[in-house]
Amino acid sequence: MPKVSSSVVAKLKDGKFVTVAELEVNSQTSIEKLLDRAKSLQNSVDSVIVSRDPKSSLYLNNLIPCFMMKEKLKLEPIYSADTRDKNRLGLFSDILTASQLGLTNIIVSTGIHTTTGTYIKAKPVFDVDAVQLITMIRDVTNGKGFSGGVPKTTGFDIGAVVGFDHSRPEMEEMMIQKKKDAGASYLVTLPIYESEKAKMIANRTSKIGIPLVVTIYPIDSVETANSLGKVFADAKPPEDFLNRVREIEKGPTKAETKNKEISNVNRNLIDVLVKELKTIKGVSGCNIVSTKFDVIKVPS
Amino acid sequence: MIITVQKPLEEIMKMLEGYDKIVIIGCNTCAALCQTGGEEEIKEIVEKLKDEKQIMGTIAVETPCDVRISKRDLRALNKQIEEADAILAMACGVGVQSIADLTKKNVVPALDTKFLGMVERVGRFYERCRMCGSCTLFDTGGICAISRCPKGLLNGPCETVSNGKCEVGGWKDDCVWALIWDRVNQLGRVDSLKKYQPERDGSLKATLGELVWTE
Repeated sequence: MPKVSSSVVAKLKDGKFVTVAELEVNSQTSIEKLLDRAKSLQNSVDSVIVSRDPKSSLYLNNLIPCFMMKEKLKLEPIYSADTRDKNRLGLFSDILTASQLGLTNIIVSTGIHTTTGTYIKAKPVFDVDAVQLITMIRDVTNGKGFSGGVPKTTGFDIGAVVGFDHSRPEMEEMMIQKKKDAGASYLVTLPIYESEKAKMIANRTSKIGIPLVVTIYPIDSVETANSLGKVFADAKPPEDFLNRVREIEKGPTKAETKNKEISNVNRNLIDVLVKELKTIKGVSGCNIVSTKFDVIKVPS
Repeated sequence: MIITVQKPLEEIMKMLEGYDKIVIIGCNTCAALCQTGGEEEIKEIVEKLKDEKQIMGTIAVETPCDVRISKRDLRALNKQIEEADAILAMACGVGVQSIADLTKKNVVPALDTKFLGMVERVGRFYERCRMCGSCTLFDTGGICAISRCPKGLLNGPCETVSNGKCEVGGWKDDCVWALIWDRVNQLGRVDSLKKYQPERDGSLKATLGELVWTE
């Protein structure tokens, strides 16, 4: 494992279970709400992944909220970078800025294709792939620069996103190995609702020897579940859970009460799932997407 | 094979507005096979235009993209081309430009050029090459990841592949990396996929392509 810069990676290295929250920048005008959510997580999480343009939509850049969380809230943000919209120059301009802002942790993913999102006529870039971007960040971190000679940054821990295609397990193992060899210190899954699925991925990651953090995406409505399914085929919440959300949605109670009830249903799901995850060999943490609810108390 | 489709007639008519005397030039190779610019398609477009335009002459050039062939074949229509207000070119983008260079006339493209494709049979054309200038087909078992993966990934599939299917289009089409994996596995060369593939050289396609033999 490369040099450690962030406390969450230090904890993973020590074999401790980490609790991460993920906040999606989902506004085109303001980050106030996002920072409020982040504030509510201050004492519950080890780190916050700040993801950008979730589901290939157009929102504010995620560098500023990362910086604000670090400076104002003393949280440890994980800056999320993907390869869809920017070539290597654009990506590294952001990464150098991240370095200057004192960010220490970057998570890399390929990115959802432009045609899956709102602005389908935008050009998909993918100048580099996730493995190449991890390699390039590692090289810059080690002072090697990349062609053109970018100055040395303060050093980053690098995470990567892991897929869960079960049709060709050896191919998935190859991808895990490549990401690890490139310089990833930990892997984060796409949204998962069943511990069995987490176990299958953990079998692969522990074979290769890289910590795995499992993502749980709370569902605030049936519509959210449907839109999530459009970008992540395997992110399917359990049917009984969805039925309960549906019942609450259709029920006679006020919107505020409904929200609270749905929040509680999610809390129950998360509690059970996290307890199970903690028993799985190779699962080193959970990442709970916390954008949709004002407060989801992350289980300790 | 350069795969083309015919533009909607309304679009063609709009470009032809104000031009009365028209020469129509087709392509007897790629566009003929795509049924967008061969002899038959020229006849069809003549039928559609003849009431509104004066068709001065028509020809399906063997390969309009080859300046030498175009020059030779177009000699037969020199007079008509000279008198024409515009030329309707039923060829790919390269053909259109070669005709424009040769005739110095207003040239209206009748086709949209889609891709460099493999022909399974007439009417079934599949993009198989993006002309990236840096072929990795040996490593990938003869299946092109640049053209066939919507993200053009070189090191393997992205995270959203599910059951061997691609996110783009809603997990109906095969993920090309699943196809590559199966092919290379069958060839007993999976190790070639495990090698790190460095980032592509963007400069290869950053400027106008030009290949001039020198001694």
